[in-house]
Amino acid sequence: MTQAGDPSFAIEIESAVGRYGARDVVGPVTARLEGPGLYWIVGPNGSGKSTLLRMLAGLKRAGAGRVRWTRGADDLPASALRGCSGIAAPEIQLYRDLSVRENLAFLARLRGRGDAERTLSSCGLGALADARPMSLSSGQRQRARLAAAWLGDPEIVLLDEPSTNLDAEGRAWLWREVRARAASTLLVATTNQREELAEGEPRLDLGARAAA
Amino acid sequence: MSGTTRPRPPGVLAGAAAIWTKEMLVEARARYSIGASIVFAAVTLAVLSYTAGPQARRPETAAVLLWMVLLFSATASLSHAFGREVEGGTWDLLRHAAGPGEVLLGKWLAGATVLVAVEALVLAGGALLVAPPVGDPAGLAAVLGAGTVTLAIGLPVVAALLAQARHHGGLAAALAFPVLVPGLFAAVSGTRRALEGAWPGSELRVLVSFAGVLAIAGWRLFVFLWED
Amino acid sequence: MRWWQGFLFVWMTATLVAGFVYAPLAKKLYEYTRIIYFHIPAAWVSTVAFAVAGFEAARYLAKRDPVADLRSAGAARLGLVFCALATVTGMLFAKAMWGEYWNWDPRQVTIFFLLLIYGAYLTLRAAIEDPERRARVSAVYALLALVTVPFLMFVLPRLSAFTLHPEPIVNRAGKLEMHPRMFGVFLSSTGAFTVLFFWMLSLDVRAARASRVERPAEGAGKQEEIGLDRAARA
Repeated sequence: MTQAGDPSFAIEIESAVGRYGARDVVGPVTARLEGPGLYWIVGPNGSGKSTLLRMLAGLKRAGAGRVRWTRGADDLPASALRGCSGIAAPEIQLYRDLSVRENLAFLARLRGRGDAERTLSSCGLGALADARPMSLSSGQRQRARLAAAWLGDPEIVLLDEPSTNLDAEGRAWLWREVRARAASTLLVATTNQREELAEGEPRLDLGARAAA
Repeated sequence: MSGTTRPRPPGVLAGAAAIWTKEMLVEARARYSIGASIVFAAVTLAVLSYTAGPQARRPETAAVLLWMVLLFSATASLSHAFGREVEGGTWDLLRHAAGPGEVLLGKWLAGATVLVAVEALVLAGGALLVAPPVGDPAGLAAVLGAGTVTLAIGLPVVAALLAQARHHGGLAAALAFPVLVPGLFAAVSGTRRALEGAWPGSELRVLVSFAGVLAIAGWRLFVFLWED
Repeated sequence: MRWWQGFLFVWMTATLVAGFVYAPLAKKLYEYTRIIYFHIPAAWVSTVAFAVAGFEAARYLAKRDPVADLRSAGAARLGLVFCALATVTGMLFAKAMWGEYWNWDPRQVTIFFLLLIYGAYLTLRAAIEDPERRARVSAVYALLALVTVPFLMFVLPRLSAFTLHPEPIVNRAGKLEMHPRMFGVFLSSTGAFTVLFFWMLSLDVRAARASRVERPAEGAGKQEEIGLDRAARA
């Protein structure tokens, strides 16, 4: 997370287009997402929310335009993101042959930060720490993914439809956590449920494009 | 400008060590690689030594037998090094948390570890079933070492290529064998000379230089397989 | 027809004729000498094609120019054809000279593995649907295979003291052991084959570009930009 006095992290999206083969699936998008704060990417299924999020995570190159990451006045290469960002998405799984605790410990070693036990307990997974991901319910697995994203309190967190598979209690916990972390983290979340947005929260609305 | 000191990600070696540890843990539990290669190695060794009969003890036959078994069992185990990550949905998790250098180095180390284990079993089986006389044990060990490193470097790079081809079927052998042939030829020739009792100097030079060239090319090219 | 295409036609015809009436026969090879003017140039072109495929692959990875990918793939396709020609003509020579189509001569083996590399490259391309991924991944394979070619062509044959291949040009003694007139026809044939390859490559790339019908990506260019919106929830 960004501490007081730290230069803020930002994601600069400059006419970025997400492309698969010859098909543009999202964009062009232009925006500056400056942390700390919560930003939304909203739109119906197929509007390119996940593709845009992957581009913001540095997992996909822009087909046109570009995405830049900055810390203060300095550009960060995509390779620098791994130490300061986390991501949770439905298609990103934890290792099925490692327990949830072992997964988090592995990620903490790679990122150079994070306390697996503290993260497990803050996500309500203390009792399930030694379970394998496939033995968890879909809601518990989603909590495990979120734990992996928040491990080490990174400065940038990207969440793709984070409330998927969570029950009412889970969703309440999620939005409490997200809005609390937004005070010190640059958070970007996607959703197709507009009622999840609070009034005045900035958003990139992909809905008009998909409807056209 | 004030600010707190942020933790930095570990270097390439530390990251590779973390990945190697993860690979060994997964392998110990699921035995994806070693299971496939041991069965393959045992069946291939038995069939080839049976059909070759007493001829299998001759240096030129024993050398070919050994490297055929090692090559096929290595391909069976290492060609899925990255495909499993893609199919299991962990590829993006890894790409987001680590850099290409530590992932490739970690996979190389893990592949070499699995190969050494398989090799030990193949050599033990070969000693029982074929038992060729070994003229120069040090030379044989050197060729085995250099050949193992070559396979451990080349096959994961091919595996990364295969993972990008989503419907790759039986492409592993088709892609890997032509690329590894120079190392394989040198390994077979060097093994034959070592069994005959001569130091395989020129073959070792070829193997080491080939492994080096493959490592540099693989390291440099892997970044292009890393991106999406 | 352009002037140089006509010139190439005359050049190749003259070389073919010279191979039969102008160049003398090599000792011990007799009439089989003629195959030198086809077999070696075909093998040479298959190596040049491979180098071109590798060069264009590197250019694609550096610049992401789709034409570089087309040139790389085209060079590989043509290289496969010339490599097959070299293999077949070599087998005919082997049968005539040594009684067997295949003798596991080191040079036979290396040209055969070059054939396998070409085949693997083209199979890999066929297995990937996405054009950008196909270009990127096949470029990586082309370059990876390229680093093995010097070992295949030059190092490994020298590991084996034994070869059936005559070595009139590149040999351990480092001396030219070919009659000057033979060498002249050989160089002429090699040059003509090389020009033919580059001409065929340009035709292949032109055909590939025409069939691609370069068009802007679907959905591109007409869309309004999406920006941040702080509107209240409806």
